This record gives sequence, structure tokens and C-alpha cells, in this order.
Amino acid sequence: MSVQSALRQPLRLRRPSLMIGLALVGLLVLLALFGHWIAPHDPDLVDLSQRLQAPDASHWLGTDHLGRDLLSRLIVGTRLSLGSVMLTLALVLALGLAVGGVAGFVGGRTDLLLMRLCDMFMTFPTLVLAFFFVTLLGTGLSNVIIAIALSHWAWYARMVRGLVITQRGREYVLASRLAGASRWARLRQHVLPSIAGPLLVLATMDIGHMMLHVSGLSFLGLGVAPPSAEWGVMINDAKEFIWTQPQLLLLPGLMIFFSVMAFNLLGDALRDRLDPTQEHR
Amino acid sequence: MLRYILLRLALLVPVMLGVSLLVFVLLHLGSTDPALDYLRLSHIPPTDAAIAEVRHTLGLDRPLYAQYLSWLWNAVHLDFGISYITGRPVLDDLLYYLPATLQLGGLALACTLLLSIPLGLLAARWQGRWPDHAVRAVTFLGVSMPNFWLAFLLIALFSLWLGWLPPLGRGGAGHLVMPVLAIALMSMSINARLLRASLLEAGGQRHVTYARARGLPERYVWRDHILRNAWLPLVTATGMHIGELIGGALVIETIFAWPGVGRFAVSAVLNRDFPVMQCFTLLLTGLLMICNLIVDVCYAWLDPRSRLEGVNA
Repeated sequence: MSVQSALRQPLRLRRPSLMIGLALVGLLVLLALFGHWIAPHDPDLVDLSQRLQAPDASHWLGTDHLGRDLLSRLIVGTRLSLGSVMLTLALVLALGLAVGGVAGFVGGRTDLLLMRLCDMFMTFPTLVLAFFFVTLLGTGLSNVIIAIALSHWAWYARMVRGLVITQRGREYVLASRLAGASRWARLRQHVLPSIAGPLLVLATMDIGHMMLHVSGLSFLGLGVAPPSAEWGVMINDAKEFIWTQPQLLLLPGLMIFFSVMAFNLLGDALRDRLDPTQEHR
Repeated sequence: MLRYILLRLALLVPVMLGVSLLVFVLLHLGSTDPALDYLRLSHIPPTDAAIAEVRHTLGLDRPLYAQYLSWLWNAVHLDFGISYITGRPVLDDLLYYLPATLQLGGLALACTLLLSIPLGLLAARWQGRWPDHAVRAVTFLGVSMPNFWLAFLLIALFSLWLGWLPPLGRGGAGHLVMPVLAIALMSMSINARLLRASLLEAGGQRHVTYARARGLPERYVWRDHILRNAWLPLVTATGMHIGELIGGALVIETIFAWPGVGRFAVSAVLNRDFPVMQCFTLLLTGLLMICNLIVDVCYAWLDPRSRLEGVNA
């Protein structure tokens, strides 16, 4: 079954994981877009007279060590946490498509050279490479995004190259070449659309993984600067209060956990749709 | 087989050279001047004269290729320079902290294999029944769990609530349980899922059906016809997890106040201590490469078909 026809099938409720995944991801996107309106308090408002309050009627989940409302920070944190992952993914896809596309489509010496470069990047442990790039660029969210993208792109380039090479040899692409289509036209009109589906599914399955990396670096204090609400940083801030106010630490982690789970559910369900032979594995 | 191992060892040299060149060039293409970082960390006011002097002592005023060659020459003699912060040789510092990290990483790898293989077998053997559902649920939660959060959950459960395990530090076996679990859960879950899928795929092959049709006992069908083919993806995946386990150990250490290389590296990142990061990156990358070599040798030993491919590639 081709990717397009698989994705065009009506959504069947027989596979609830797809629906649940879609619903959870949709909820996260809504929180990221409209969180600022939903949040009951200003997430960054410091009120030292209200610090480390237990949950009550005004602060449903209590307050943190600076008296900020935990619920508001959890809701508003969705934007930075999700947004940074989406940006990372966009960067990784762009780099992977560019390098992998060129390597697969041009072939020859260019391919060899680009793939050796990929091999080089893939010999590093991912987190070590990310550490290295943060050292180079300095701390901060945008630098962490770049660092994680730079330590992940080689895998995508590899994948894109493989997909492009299989598509390049297909009869319809050869036919369009015989019909006089230029290289660029063949790449844009035939090869790229046919690899978009599998690539998106692979990316969805990887979002969760990337989210763990981004929040991990934030947790280590290398990413988002402290005043902003982001789940990884919130866990880092709450470390000292694990004995007294464990909810400060448990709830942001729960948000990360649920988000990663939502994307994993969606990714697994999309993969099963795409490849029916894998069903019930 | 010996020829294969020697060839792979020889191939490590050019790759390591390439990696070191990449690290070196990237560090020196960076937007900041290492001399400024050096002055900042040594608390010397950055006057023009001081900058010029430091640039000269650090060799930064020479052309890039000369810097690389002299750095490489020193590195081959195990001299990776002096840390900007501690003022001690970088390699000594890193080698002082590394064994504790390796202990965590190695145990996490062992834990990954020891847990994922029985779980994968259990799920595939009783596909669609309750052991399968249980394993799939646990592993699904496992692949979605942030390892640093899991670490705190474990502390809350085993130290705070039950009081069974010490929450911090390095010492007896009790200190190892929580960090190792926190690092290993993700890889363990991925491996168990993979083994299950791989077993089911191998079990669906026609030669397995034929083996059953011949009336072979189920025991032999599994041992000789399914398992032998299903191991291979697991070996490859394990190789890919080693990098993740190293990364996991670096993060988890900081939570359990484990005296490993992780906290040292994070402070080097925050302070932009370039010599430390250069050596750290190369050391751990070299380590991963050696681990991957071992994995590839295991693969070649298990699957004779791959030996030729490995040599020709």
C-alpha cells in the first residue's frame, strides 16, 4: 500500500491508539497556542509571600520557591517545551533533506563525501556531541536547539538518502526523465512527495526522543534561562524541594512524560497504518 | 575472523583522525576567542597585552594547521593540555572521574540485556496473551519516561517513602540500583520491543512452519529456527544503545551526586573550558567506537554473511 493511500484511509476507531495519540497531541498544541489565556495566574509573577504554598483554592497545584503558580507555569511551559522540539525537528528535517537528498540524487563522489561526513557525526555519542556544541555556542535555548539538531541530522540524512535512492530508480521517475524532465523537476515533483510520508512518520516517532534530549539539557541548566517556564528547567528548579514539595518536581515531569507518550502513540499508530505487515507487532 | 578484527582496528585510526580534526576545527571556528575564556577563568583582566600574551602561550597566534598538528602530536603522547579552571592536565582529571561513569554505564548495559531478553522472549512466546500485553505496556511507558524524572521518582519511592536505598553518593551495591535502573529503562524497553518484533518476524518464516509441520518439538523450533535468526537485530540495536547509555549516565550522575565525569563535563560546558571539552568529546567518542567495534565483531561471529560485507564496505 502506498503512503498516500494509507494516509487517506478513513480513520478507523478500531485502532484507538491513533485517535488517542491525535487527541493528546491536539490538546498539547492547543495548550501551546492558547496557554497564556487559559492559565489562571501570571506564570512569571514572583510573590515571595506566597512561596511554596500547598495546593489551595487560588493556586490549585500550589506555588514554587518564588511564589509562582505551578498550574500556570505547567500550562504556559507547553509552548517553550513543545516549540523548542518542533524547531529542532524542523532544523533536523531541513538539514537531513538537504544533505540526504543531494547525496542520494546526485550520487557519485558527492554522495561518498557527504556520507563520510554523516559517518563522522554518527560516531559521537549524541549527548556528548550536544555538550560539545553547547560549549561552542554558549548556553541558552536557541543554542541547545541548534546543538541537538546538529547531533541528530546525520541519521535523517542517511534515511533520506536511502529513501531517495529507492525512489530514484522507480520506473515512473525514469519515465519522467525520458520525457525530458530536469533533475530538479524530478526531485521536486516525483521523489520528494513520495518520501514525505515515510519521513513524517519517522519524524513523529522521533519527536518524543528529541523532547527527552531537549528537556534533559534544560534540566542540566544548559538550555532555557531560569525565569521562563519550561518543564525541564522547572524540574531542575524544584530539585531541592523533593523532600518537602514533591509535586513541584513530579508534575513537570509528568507533562514531559505525557507529551512524549502522546507522540509515541501517534508515531507507532502511523507506522502501523503505513506498513500493515507490521500490524500487531 | 582475526583478519576481520585487525582490519576493523586499522580502520579506527583514520576515523579517529577525522573526528579529532572535526572537533578541533569546530572549536576554533567558534565565535569566541579561547584566550578570553582563559583570562576570564583565571581571573586576569582582559587587557590587550594580556590577551596577546595568552594567545601566544596557548599557541593561538599560529596558523590553524600548525595548531592542529602540534595539538595532535601532543594528543598522541597523551597530552591534551591544561584545564582552564583547575589548571591540571585535562586527561588526568577526566581519567580520575571516568571509571565511576563507566561503572554506571557498563552496569546499565548489562541490566539492559539481562532484562530485555527475557521480556522480549516472554512477549513473543505468549503473543496476544496477558504476558505480551504486560510487557508491551511496561515497555511503552519505558520509552516515554524522561530518565532524569524517573531518577527522582525512584528516589521518592525507595529513599523517601520506603527508606530502602541511599539517595545519594557512591558506596555499596545499594547506591547502584537506582541510577542503573534510571539509565537502563529506556534502552531496555526499546530492546525488548525490538526482540519481540524480531522473534515474531522470524517465527512467521516458512521454514519455521515447515519445522513445525515436520513435528519438531516446540523447544527445538524456537532454539534452532527462530532464536538464531532473531538475535541479530538485537546485537545491532545494542550497539546503538551504548551511546545513549553513556549520555544517560552523564545526566543521571548529576542527580545522584555520583562522582563521575558528568558533573565535571557540565561545569566545563558552562565555563567553556575548551581543552576539557575537546578531550572529553574525543575520549567518549573513542570509547563508543571501541564498543561498536566489539559489537560488530560479535555480529560477524554470529552472522558469517556480514564478514565479507564489513570488509568490502
